[in-house]
Amino acid sequence: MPQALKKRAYNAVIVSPEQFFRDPTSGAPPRLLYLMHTNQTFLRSVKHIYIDEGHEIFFSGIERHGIPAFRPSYGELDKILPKLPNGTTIHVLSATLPPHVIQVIEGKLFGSRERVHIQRPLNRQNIVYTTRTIADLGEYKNLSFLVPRHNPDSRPSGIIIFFESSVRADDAATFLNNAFRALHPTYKISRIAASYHAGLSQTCLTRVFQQFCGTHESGEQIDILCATSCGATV
Amino acid sequence: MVYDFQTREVSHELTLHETYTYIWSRSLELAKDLCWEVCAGLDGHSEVLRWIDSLDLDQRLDTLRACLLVFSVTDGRVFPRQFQLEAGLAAYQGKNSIVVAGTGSGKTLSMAIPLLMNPEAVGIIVSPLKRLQSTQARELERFQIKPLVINQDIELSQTEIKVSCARFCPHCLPSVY
Repeated sequence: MPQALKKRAYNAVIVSPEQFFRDPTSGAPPRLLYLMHTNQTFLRSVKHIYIDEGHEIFFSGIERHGIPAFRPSYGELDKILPKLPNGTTIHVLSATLPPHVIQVIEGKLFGSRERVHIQRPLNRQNIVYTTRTIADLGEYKNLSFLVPRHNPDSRPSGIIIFFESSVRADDAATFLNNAFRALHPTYKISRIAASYHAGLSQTCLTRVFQQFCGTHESGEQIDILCATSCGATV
Repeated sequence: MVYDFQTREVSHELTLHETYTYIWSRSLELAKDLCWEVCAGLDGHSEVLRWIDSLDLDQRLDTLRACLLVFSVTDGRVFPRQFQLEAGLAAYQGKNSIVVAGTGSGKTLSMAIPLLMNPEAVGIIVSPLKRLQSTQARELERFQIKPLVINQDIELSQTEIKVSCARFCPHCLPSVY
């Protein structure tokens, strides 16, 4: 076994689910599929497949309520299993798997295959759940409650707002900065909200996060992060 | 850079290969003693070690080896938690799994454990967002796992793809080493 360590270059390949399937329009194989087709040594060395954020199989991968799948590749991951070596283990990981979602995933991916369920408690003492119905996701005035109109000198702090798209995260940050600037003159020079998503460079993400944590060398402070789900992994 | 169990400090010279050899040469009792002695003080280590004691005999040695490996590759900073060991060892022993654990609870380490335990194994990790993929890659590097991120944005030239392929097959293109 230790000899293998010297030879090995990579032992984890991190991919988007679309990498397993030919492009529907051009028919071109993506890089992972190419690797799987052309390199038997690679294919034979695959021992585990991990589907992180496994709830996406249900939420993005299948048609629901008459709405087509957002990322159909998630719903077709079961089709790649026969291409993998015998004995490849399948692992679904998520923080959000209610029973009806698990049922769909089990039916699609596991069938009669045995599997171990490992469940950790998700609740934490400082979490409160609440919902608010809004008419339009693009209507950012729903976020106005964060602006302390009656006490302009107080700044909100340590707030992360999650969005489904980077465009909405950008727009919401702009909306909040404008709202704070209108309220208080000091906000004209410093921004209070910033977006945080994969469209930003690593340097920018690091700076924004340090500003959010109050550890940036400039002393600049960001109090509200408008993030895509990547904000959950910093 | 790994933690050297013999000198009890982080070593720049010791290779991962040598750490394996050392850990795999320990018997069950010696591995257990080493965990108690060396890892003392790390968050949650005594609860995990007591849980390991409650496992079947044939599970205990693998689980202790996983603990020592993780401890060593993180320069003595991380001791895995129970669910990470359960999930990691399930994969190592060829079992499928469904793992439900909160964001930030350390699911990446549960993916790293079987890849550390079996250096010949490759794991494919399907991840939905590019940003998540790069975060995961950095996290895996913390555990001395070598990740390759492949998505539409990664500009791999044909040559790089061939080199990546060849790295999986040292006989195809030995010069890449």
